[in-house]
Amino acid sequence: LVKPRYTEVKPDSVGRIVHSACLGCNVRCGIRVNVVQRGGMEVVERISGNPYHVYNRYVSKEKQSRRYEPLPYNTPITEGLKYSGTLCARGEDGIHYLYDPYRIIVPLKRAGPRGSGKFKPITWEQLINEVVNGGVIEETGERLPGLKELFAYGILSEAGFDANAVLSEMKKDVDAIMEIAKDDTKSYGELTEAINNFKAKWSAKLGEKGLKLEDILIDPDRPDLGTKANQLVYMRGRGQGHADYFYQRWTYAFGSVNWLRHTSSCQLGYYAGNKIWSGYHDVQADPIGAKLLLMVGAQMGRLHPGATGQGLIVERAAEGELKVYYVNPTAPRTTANGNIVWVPIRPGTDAAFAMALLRVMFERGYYDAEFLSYANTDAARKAGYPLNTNASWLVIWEGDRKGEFLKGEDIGLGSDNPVVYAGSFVTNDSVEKAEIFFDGYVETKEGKRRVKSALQILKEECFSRSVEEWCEICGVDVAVIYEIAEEIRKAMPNCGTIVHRGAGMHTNGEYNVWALRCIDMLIGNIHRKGGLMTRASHTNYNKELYYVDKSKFGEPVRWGPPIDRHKVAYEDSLEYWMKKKRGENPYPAKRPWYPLTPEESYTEMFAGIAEEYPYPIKALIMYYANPVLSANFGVKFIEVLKDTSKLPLFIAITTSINETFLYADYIVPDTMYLETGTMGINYLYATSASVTLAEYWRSPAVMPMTQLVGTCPNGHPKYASMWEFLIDIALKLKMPGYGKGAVKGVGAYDGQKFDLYCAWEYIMYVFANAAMDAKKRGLIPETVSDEEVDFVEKNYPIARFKDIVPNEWRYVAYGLARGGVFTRYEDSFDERGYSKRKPWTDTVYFWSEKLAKARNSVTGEKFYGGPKYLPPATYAPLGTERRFYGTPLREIYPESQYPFLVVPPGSPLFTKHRSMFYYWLKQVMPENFAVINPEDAEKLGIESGDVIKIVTPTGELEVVAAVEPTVVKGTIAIPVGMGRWADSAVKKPAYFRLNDGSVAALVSELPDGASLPSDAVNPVKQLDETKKRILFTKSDRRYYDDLGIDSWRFSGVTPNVVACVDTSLDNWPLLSWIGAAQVYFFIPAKVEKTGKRKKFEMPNVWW
Amino acid sequence: ENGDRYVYVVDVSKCYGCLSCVAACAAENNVPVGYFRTWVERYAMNGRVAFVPKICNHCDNPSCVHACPVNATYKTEEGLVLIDDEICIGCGACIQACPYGARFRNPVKGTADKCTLCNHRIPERLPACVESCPTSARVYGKMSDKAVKEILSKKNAVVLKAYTGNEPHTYYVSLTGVE
Repeated sequence: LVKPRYTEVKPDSVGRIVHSACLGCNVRCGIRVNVVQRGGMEVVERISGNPYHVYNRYVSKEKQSRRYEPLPYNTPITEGLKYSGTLCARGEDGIHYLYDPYRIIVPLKRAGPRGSGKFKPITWEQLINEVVNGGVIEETGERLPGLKELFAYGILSEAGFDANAVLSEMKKDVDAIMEIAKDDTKSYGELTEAINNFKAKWSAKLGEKGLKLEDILIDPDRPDLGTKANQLVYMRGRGQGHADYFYQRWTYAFGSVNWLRHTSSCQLGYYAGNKIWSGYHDVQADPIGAKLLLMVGAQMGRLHPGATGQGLIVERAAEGELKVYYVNPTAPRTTANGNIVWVPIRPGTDAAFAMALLRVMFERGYYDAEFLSYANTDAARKAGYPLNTNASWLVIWEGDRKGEFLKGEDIGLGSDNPVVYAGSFVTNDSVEKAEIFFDGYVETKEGKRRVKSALQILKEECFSRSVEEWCEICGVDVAVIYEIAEEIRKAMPNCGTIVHRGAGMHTNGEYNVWALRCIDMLIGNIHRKGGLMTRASHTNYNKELYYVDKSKFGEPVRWGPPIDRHKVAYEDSLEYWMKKKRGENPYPAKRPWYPLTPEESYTEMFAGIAEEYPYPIKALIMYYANPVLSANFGVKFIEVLKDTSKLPLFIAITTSINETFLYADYIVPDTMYLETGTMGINYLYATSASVTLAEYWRSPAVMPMTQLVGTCPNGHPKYASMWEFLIDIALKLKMPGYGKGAVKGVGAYDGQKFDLYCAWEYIMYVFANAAMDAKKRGLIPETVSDEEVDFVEKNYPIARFKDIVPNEWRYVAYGLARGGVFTRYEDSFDERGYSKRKPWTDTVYFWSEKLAKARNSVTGEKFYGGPKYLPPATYAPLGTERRFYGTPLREIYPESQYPFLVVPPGSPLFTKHRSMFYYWLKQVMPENFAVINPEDAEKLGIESGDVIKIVTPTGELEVVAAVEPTVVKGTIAIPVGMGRWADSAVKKPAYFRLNDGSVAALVSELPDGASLPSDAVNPVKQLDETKKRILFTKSDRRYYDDLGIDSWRFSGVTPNVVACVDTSLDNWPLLSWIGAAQVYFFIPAKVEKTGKRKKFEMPNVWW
Repeated sequence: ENGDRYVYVVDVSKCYGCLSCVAACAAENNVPVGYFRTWVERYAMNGRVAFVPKICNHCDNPSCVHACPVNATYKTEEGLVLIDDEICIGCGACIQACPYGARFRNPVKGTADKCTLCNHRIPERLPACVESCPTSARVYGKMSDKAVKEILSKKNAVVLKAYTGNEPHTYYVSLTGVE
């Protein structure tokens, strides 16, 4: 018998421990990173949960079940290390993200036509120089503009002007022009004269130092569009503090209004809906104190508090402490001993479900009439409530002003407060309580008008259909509606809704969200235990001592609408008023404007660039994003990315070259979250474990594997990353806020100045701000023990930069040791169960005058100002109708032709397309499939393993079928997160075909394979051989030693490529009407058999 | 004989298939990709999904131990079934003999491999899979430990494939209705 050689797989050392935060998804859980030595190199060996973090919750041998609480924050770190916390698989598998062979480590420049996939390495100096001054693609001869041409502030300074004096005066002049534009008494002639005067004045002034007005403004004839700096767009995909504040500050330092985020593809419909009724975009039910939760369109393990934090919901349910109704087209992942109940629903009909339930609640009196009747905030607060509703406020229900609140002045009460009925018509501030149900007539200055209370309008809307009719629309069982209503009666007010993308990311998403939130308002659960809460507060991390806030640091004066027209009304634009004054119909606008959306939109950014509306764009810097794949029908964006006339300069900051960045001119290699990545501090999303203050602190676990590109004047190393790229651009352009003494001291450091030459300086200021504020709040002690400081100095790479904040370092170390600052749930509520946080708003709304006055930019019709069920539809009617919403999608794509709807559900596993490197998950779910209900499958003769063709209005998709009773009839679920084709290497996709000829041509032009120089990519090569084999066991060596194609990286499909477009808006990806949210969950489809079969790689269907 | 030994309890109702345990185990024990010391099976019934986590059952009468020709695999006094990597010749007999499919040949180490209940971590620290679980679907301890007793006394616990005579000591609660 010969004993074969046995290979030891253990590391060479026990190693270091760093408490930091995860970015596997956006939830921001705490992590404990164990870094060891392997083959003479530091390697991240293990990532587990941080027991101090409110999401991870501590666990020990004695505390194995009911893992509900984190360690007390003041637990000494040496004691804390004896405990651990929970963590989801993606968090643990951050190791495969860090050690991703496809990671870029040096700067690259395009070396062929856009999209050719050809890149060549360049030096950091060349990158910075060409981005600032312009460059030439040597292979094609194309000239690329430099950012210098757009930096209006710099152009003015260089000419010898006081740039901000010029810009602020110019802005004042523009404001004056807008005053004239909006003044009905002023004519078109007077307006054009004002513009001409402006041009003459500034041409003369600028001419004194050799400048022309067009050197500064995008369009001198349209000065309202702002300076040329606006022609630079900064768009980020996944964002997290402190990176978010850092590049927002950078964009403002450049002078551009176009600091944009990916939110349309995130949860913008949910945000925009919440913003309307509650004044705040992120509101959810407290899962810790609730006895009952309605999870509507909220995937288990998907939304905040994430796969880790949601474990608490599952465990509480399994222990019988919580009942959950899971309203979703797909089944929950456990019934938790019968306490998680599946309520199957038809996609896009969530408001109908809400209306059915609200109707029963009205009928049976399951609402808090006392709370609802308070007519103003003071009265409600005096009675012990945190805020009031506008249930009793009267809405004018006829005439031109239909939808507006009846104001005191309308009935001669000399006040612009809303009027209520309390025996007589009075303003809401003059009584404590008023009638919540009122429908009647009132004598106004304009005549007799019918008025209704806000709650009356909702009630009538609910009663406009029977429960059976509502259920007919949404497909929910009538008996279940009554069952839920009874459960609400038993649990109220300790119950609430958790609403997310499944409800919000529809054309009617904002109305869905609002309708569902009326359930919460009725039961009066706002701002209390088990009810709706927003986010916890955080420390003063931007301006306690070192002023690193995003604005007011001397940045250029800026104005103008953003390219995606978010937060701006068309009716406030010069374009609108010029048309009006010329006697033209201002509608339709070229593209919609979105005054009521809180955040930005992928589709509208690209449409804006393509249509040059409201103005042309010259440069796009995109960070950590992949809209081509992650937006519904994002493939359309390739048209824009490929077009150098519409987009002359495209810079990508990224860890790998994805489907979008394949078209970039320059690739800036970025670090990931275990290196510098999104290091820093950020808030947690609603409800932040419902505590009063919670924030994570992320610092590097290991030093970056990207190229070392220099040393800052204060001696700190600079690694290729988003951070150093933006700092070096700023230094070269002499942007305000960067360099010697560019950070002003505040508070105790008032009058002092500090340098900003590298990422470490910025981030240490942030940690110092947070630590000193946390000390002030009594969370970090006055006296920090040596063992806390020693722990951080021995274990944390960031400790080597303690010289930057020597006075605050001890306190910084205390927070770093715990991975953040957290308060406790037990201390979060008063004796009556209301949150000790400051109420986030004064009044929550059953009716919104703001929405009722906003208009559809195509038809000019006013939106309906209250919660309502409306069918999913286009933005504008396709015919000649004039309405605030368009043609129902089921009229355009009838069920007879497209009997199915395809939805892309998320899960704790793959929540997004940035999931392909998670090989510890891929090994269980190497590919995705189309899940079909057995009854549907039987009709079509489909069995699991059959390859089917899913035909949608935009194209077709081939995918293997998995027949399971886990999806509602008529719906096909394709688990999200796969179907990639470009990721530094390119594998031409063969699984879909597109109807749009020009987009199809762009896909067919894709290169195949990889053509990157081997020294420009792959930080994995240098790893210890054994570790490589453990991490990539099933892969060909060429994958992890070179840039070979590995099948798992490009497996599966994404339904996004054949998702819905808006035929009323030039076939751009379909959006919600109010928020401009990407519509993922409404893809009409028919299914055909292909006759092909596919063997699942895994024996079980796993998703 | 069946004294105070280590046992492992899985609460199926709490598992929601997040795979935290699988990834934690892989990292903790350097399990090669595509091989599993612990895994989670998924069952989809009408209107119900159930995930069933699996590990080595640490049997009292382990067929794998009997099958090993070189006595590389053995049973400890505390009830763990372990493998001595220095002795194992990687012949695969134990892999065939395990009725639960809990063993595999580790292609990196060259030996048979399986769950050790994180023998290198216990009793000071929890097994990686138990520690990481966001829902406490997995609990471990000695028979006499409060955490274990509490679950086993309250809930109807079963073992898998009792008919094999292997006397497994991994218990399942809320398994009823999962086929």
